[in-house]
Amino acid sequence: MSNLEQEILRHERRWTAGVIIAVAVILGAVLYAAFALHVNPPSNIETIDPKTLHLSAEFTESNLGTRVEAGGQVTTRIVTAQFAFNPQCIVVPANEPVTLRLASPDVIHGILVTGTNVNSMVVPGYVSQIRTVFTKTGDLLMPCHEFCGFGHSQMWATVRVVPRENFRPDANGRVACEKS
Amino acid sequence: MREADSENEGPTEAQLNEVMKQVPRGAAVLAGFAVFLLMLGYSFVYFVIFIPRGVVG
Repeated sequence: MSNLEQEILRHERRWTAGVIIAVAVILGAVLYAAFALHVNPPSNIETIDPKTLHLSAEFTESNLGTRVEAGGQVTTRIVTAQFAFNPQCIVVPANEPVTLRLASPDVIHGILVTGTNVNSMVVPGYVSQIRTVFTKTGDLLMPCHEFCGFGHSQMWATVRVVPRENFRPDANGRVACEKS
Repeated sequence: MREADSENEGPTEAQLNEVMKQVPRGAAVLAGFAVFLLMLGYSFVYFVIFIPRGVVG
């Protein structure tokens, strides 16, 4: 092997090592987020009949919004339909685990909460479930991010994150935005 | 006559080898800088945007 070929081989080996290190760093960051920080893509698989969504126990109108469950778990149920969220404003406590459960009776919608990693599709026939902790208080915008029809741009909701001391469930464990 | 022919044939083997010695280093610097920028962008998104946005699952 000539000197020139040896030189090229040396460069290729260095470059291979560099690429392996770069890939290892990225993979390590992904694994760290997944296993140490518990940041994972929402992967709940749960079916629901979209035709009887409003009649089923969980997503009837009276059961929508935020509720503190028997074990103290905060759960928010939302129906996403053309072209509105029901309810349009939800209240959640800051720095506590919150479970968002969403279902669609018509077409595919999508939600994201600005400034957070909450981001999911809402597919008819399935319940989308996202567990998260909101760390900043204030009103966060939650738009539909999947084109769902002509009124798509008008479809948005508000997530009101309040300090724990201002999160006061009523006798039924329900918390709703104050009507203005 | 010979000199004219060699000019028409382009660079000699020795000249090519001299250039080839430099080429891998230049390519490595260019590609290394591109990968450095990629890693810089990835790190920025990961540490400044993704992690502060909190837990989700």
